[in-house]
Amino acid sequence: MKILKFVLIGVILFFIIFPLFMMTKYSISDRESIVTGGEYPEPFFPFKPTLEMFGVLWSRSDFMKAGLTSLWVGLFAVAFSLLLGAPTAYALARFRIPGVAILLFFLLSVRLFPDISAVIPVAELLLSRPFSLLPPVVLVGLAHTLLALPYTVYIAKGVFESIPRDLEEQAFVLGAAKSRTFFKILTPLALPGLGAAAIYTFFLSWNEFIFAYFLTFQGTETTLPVYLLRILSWSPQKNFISAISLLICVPVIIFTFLVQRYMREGLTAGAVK
Amino acid sequence: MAEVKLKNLTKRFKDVVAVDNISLDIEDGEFLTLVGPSGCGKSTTLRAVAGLENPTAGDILIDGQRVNPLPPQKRHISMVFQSYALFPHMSVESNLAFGLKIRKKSLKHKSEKVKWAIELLGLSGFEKRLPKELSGGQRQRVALGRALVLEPKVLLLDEPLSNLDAKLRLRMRTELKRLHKKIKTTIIYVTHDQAEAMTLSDRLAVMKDGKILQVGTPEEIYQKPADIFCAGFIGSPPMNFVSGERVPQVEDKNAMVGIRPEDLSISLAETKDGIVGRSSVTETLGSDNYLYVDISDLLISVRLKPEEKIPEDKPVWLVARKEKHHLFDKSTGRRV
Repeated sequence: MKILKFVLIGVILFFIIFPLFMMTKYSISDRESIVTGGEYPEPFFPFKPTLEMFGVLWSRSDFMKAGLTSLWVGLFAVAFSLLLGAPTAYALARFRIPGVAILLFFLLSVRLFPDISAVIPVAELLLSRPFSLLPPVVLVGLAHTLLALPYTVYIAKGVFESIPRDLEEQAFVLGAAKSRTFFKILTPLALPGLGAAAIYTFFLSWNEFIFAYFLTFQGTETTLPVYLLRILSWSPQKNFISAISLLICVPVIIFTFLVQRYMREGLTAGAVK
Repeated sequence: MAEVKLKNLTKRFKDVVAVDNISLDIEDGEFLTLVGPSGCGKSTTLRAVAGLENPTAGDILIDGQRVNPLPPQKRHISMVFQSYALFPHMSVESNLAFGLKIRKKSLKHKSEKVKWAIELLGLSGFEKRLPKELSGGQRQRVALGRALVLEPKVLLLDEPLSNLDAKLRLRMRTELKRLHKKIKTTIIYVTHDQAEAMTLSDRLAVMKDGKILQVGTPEEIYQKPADIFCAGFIGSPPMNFVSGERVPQVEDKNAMVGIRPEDLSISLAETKDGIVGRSSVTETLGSDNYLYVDISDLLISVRLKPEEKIPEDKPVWLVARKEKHHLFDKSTGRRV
């Protein structure tokens, strides 16, 4: 049984780690290690590992620009979905709204449709006036908000529900106005949870391809996934494309490590025994 | 300090009447307890006084002023919640100062008051701690301090001891009583624990189904319960109830007779006017021992003197002096 368990874990790990390994390997490969001409097999590890491709990418302004675009789109999406989602979630969590279960179902059901079926109407709407006057970064950010909002609302609703109502009532009895209670009591307590929603939104936006593609394929401003496709259409070398892939992964990994600790803090401990 | 008057207070939630037309006068500096089983409306009454619930009908007066339309802040009340409701991201100090900050008190006043509360409640050294770094008793005291620094005219306490373990609860009970003696604020206290209600209060109001059944000092309610429910609710172990026809001394055979465990005397020999039963189990508490006696379908508790020993599973005769009988009307439950 024990052996079987380890074998199973090994197999799963292989499927997770092998693609990452290949990506990393190619990204640091020298020319001889990938262009073999069929004379010898590709080596398991590059003959002369090199960071050359990262240098190339660093000096390419189109890549840097796509990276920045992705970053901004992600931040816009996070900002929009929190600004819209958090108050919605608060209302859903605190007030008795008739038909709330149906409302929540419809909210999530938006995500039951495949993105491809929603992209045409959304692109149609966002690419015509007045939306088309907005910079593409904001447009894609809005589209991603649309995708992330149902989850944001769900996560944030759980967050607000986990904050005891007593705290709000206590603040009220002590004389705090609603706004003070919201900013001084609720917001600090909800931050870790809302952080989770923000991370989720950011990753969704960072990865998202279809909406970004339909909204930006005509312009020069694109997000990284769309940029990757453009590069692919030139049939570039494996090491170049792998370096781009790897760089797209890096922020996700860093961001996760940075914010996860904060999320785990569990600030509400000790509020209510 | 202030007196509080409730006039025909009613609170309805849709079809449920939580508080049913109650009137109550609470004197200045009094420690009054609303006691009753859960769902009796005691918490709702307290929340109405606090301004957290809008009464459906009736008035709440604090110091003669009708406060119904006023928000909590303007009622000069403070409230301590059962959960303490400490702000988990704020230190003890910030929690204590929260209300003062809202009232825009001067920095000097604020730090003086916070210091006063910290000393009063023995929280020195914990000023910078977060609530999660405190013990249950300390949290409870912070919650109390946060209410006290506002110098409320009326302090509202909603089951403040029920989240503490038994030992701590007893200690905080004493502390609370001493505190009240020191600060002399009017306190309205809500509990379902009759022992707490008895030991702490100047007067208590026994509530059931949204109504007040009896208001009085602990002694009055213990010795002269106005109602069969009060009689059974106050006192531990509870009063024994026997139908009148089974008690030889009672003339009114339609009455329900209530007898407290300590008013019964027990004998192994046949006694005049005694009710015969069978001794069952003894509960030893140290200072008091309680013997349970089977009388056909009833289980009667009897307090034994420490030196008294009654063997189990023997016929015994129980008798109580007539003046110790509490008679209640079987249909209305009121004292006759």
